[in-house]
Amino acid sequence: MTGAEAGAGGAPFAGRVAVVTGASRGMGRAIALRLARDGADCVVMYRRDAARAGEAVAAIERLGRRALALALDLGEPAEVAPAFARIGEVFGRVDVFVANAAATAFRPTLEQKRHNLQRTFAISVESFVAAVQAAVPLMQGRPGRVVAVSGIDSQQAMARHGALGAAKAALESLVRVLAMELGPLGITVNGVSPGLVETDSAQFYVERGISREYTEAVKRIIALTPVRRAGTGEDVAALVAYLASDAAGFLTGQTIVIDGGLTILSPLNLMQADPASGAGAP
Amino acid sequence: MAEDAARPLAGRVALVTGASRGIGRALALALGAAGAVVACAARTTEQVEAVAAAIRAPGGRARAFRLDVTRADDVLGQTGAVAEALGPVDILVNNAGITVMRQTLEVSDAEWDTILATNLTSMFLCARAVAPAMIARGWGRIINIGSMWGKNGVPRYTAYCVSKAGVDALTRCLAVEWARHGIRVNCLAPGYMNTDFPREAMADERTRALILSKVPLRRIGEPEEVAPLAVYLASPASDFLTGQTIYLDGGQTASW
Repeated sequence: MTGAEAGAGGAPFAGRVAVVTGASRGMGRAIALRLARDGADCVVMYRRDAARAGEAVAAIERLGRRALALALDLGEPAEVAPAFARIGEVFGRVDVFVANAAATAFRPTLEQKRHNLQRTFAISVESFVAAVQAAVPLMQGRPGRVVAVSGIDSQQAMARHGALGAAKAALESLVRVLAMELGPLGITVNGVSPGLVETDSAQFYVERGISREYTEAVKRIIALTPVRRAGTGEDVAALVAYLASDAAGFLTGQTIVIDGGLTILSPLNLMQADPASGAGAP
Repeated sequence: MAEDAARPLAGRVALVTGASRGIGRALALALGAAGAVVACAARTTEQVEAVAAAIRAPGGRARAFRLDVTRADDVLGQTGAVAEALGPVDILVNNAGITVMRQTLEVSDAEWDTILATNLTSMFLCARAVAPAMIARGWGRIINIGSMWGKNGVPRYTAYCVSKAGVDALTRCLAVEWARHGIRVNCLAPGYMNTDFPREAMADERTRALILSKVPLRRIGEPEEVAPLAVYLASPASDFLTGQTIYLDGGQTASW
């Protein structure tokens, strides 16, 4: 086994089926397209935007792969099992499941409504469990791959992210537990935790999440990020493609932070004009 | 992205320390297969000559170098020799390391110093030696080989654990300081691998069963399984990932 097999050399996912939630746009779309480029047939799960899901399906088909768009509301975990039953009918198998979709109400925790908390957790926690429960039988003893998309708010307190951060922390806990439980089957379970990635959702997260004007906020975050840029869907997709590959068979139970170094920077450095200079660090 | 997908490291020069056997050997072979020109370094050259030859056999480019990573003058001299022979180092894999199992009260000053010098200070010395050329060219990758024991308390392995925890901190500091120069620094931390060191421990059947019962995947890793992650971390595809320690351990650090 060499690195070439882990990369895009040839089609490492040929004949395999990848299911990606929230795949009609943004990061989910980038992940689905990357896996398709590497050979996978893809299920594009989406909630609302049938037109964009259709575009994602067309883009995957142009790569010569099969694609299926499935509309479901992950806020209703009962919808998950029937969706996977449909995948079973159409494709007969699942090899890779990527839990990417998330949604929440951004507000101070004291103002969180019960139904908002429930919906946030239904999407990131309950539906994730339901999907893994439904996907594992379709992996049929093969060394399947589960990858969950987490976020900075799982580990660091962020204003208005009380509900989503808690849900993502629960998701990362499930990554560890499922890695332990599914390890004997050869199935690996990992997470990726991106920093600022410029997608459709990024503007929403910045404006509603941390209540800043988007363009200014992005400039500020980029200035704070040691690599001096925002991430792209393709950055995250490349890491997901590695984790989903045969070459990553010994890596499980981890959530890998991919944030351009943002969260390892000492908070004291954030007060400086040139955050990465380290001048004045303790 | 115009890069050759099967050979994402084409045109890059990689230096791998401790390349004569185990994980270092596997990494050198994989980087070579991914297109890099590989400087295979070790304290003595006999085994490492064979590794370089194995990279050259299918058409790769590689050369063996004698290098004592504990000596600052040797690190400076030999990284200079690598640059002269192959070109400036684009990818540094800090892999060389040793361990000794001993009750902490019985560890001598010299032994402590040797373990820290070999496992930790060496990584600083090598990074310091190759970084100026990376900064000048605005691109570089440093992969430090850590260990899951860098975050655990392991009786009788104090110096080793301290050195590997130090590798994590070194990784973070170099990552944030050099990020703006296009240098990415990450730590790849293996769990139990099929190399000389755990193989000795696992010769005892009871120890082996105990270890495997704690690994969710119910097996130890092969050195070759570290390679694809190293190739990814060495490639342009990992440009947004820096300062992280990634555990490749069959799930061991995630479970208890």
